[in-house]
Amino acid sequence: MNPGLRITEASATDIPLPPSSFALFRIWLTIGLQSFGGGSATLALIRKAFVDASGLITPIEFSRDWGLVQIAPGINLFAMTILIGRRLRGARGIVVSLAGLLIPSVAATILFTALYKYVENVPWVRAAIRGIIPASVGIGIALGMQMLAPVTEAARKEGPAPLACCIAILIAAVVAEQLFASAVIPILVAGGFIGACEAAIRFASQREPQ
Amino acid sequence: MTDLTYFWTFLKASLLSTGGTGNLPILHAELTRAHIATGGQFAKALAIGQIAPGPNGLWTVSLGYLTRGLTGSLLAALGIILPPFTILAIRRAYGNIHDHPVAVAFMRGLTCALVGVSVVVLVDVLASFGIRPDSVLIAVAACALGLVKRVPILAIFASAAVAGMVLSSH
Repeated sequence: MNPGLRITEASATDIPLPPSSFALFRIWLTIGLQSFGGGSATLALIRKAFVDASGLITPIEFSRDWGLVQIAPGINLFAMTILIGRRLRGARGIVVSLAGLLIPSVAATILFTALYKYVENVPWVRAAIRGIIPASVGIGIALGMQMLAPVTEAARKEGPAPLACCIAILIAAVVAEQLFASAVIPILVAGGFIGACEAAIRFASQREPQ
Repeated sequence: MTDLTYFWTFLKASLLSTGGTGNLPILHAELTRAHIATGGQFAKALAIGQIAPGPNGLWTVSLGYLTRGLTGSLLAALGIILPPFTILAIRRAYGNIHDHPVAVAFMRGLTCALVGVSVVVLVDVLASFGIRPDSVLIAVAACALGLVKRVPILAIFASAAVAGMVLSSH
């Protein structure tokens, strides 16, 4: 039985009591062990455990937190884990949540890599890798396109100028990366700066007629 | 490169990016320039990161193992775990900056640049294994299936592995 669900059933009120640190660790451990299939699969499991099955977090809280983690540096799912852990059990909740999610998945990643190093010269493994590596590149490009879609959609709603700016930054980044491959950070910061300048100029021009 | 510099490279790459593969361009630039990693190791790490359980950002743990063994994987893991803690400060400042149009536009511009750079790096990673018509076809098919979202990632990789074995047998 899902530990979160048991907590809901044990609670006499509509708002479930926060789980104990151990129960919280077990929920995250279950997620960590089941989350095959990348970030989307992990996010779906997190939502199922904390929103659908246990009601520990409301759908609105979940969506708001997920929106907020989009602007945090690093892996969004880790930031989401930190927010949920803190919401339910404070600092101790952060520690047990991250431990529960990461211990099995980091251990499995190390194990998979060690196993790969052991068998990488086996002919059928080499043959399989010949297909897997282009697939991982394709999936990486798909993730980039998925990352880009909400951004361009928001820009489109604001008008043609922000959308044109997004497309220009994208093309400029491709060209700049090919010309200055080692200058990734300046390219990213320049992209953000150009976007901010476009917005500042646009809002200033909108205020002028008033 | 010392262990501290190695850890700092992973930490910096995660601090200056978002998402599971957002740190790829910075890591690729810095680790290949320092001759710590090859394009092939990046490709293998990305593939293992997709297949292993957990967030796909754990590909960096795999890269750590491929380039510096168990120590490398643990340093890489620490480097990607710490930056998301900034969410606690961001949440505190949420009301002040989240909806500010210029801040939103900055993040939008940065994301567009990140995607553009990532595409170039991914093509470079593919090139390190040799760009052939069959590998391009598999990449395009995986990209299309990845966009559909209904096909499990593991099924895409299993199909790609079978395709690789069939192509190698001819």
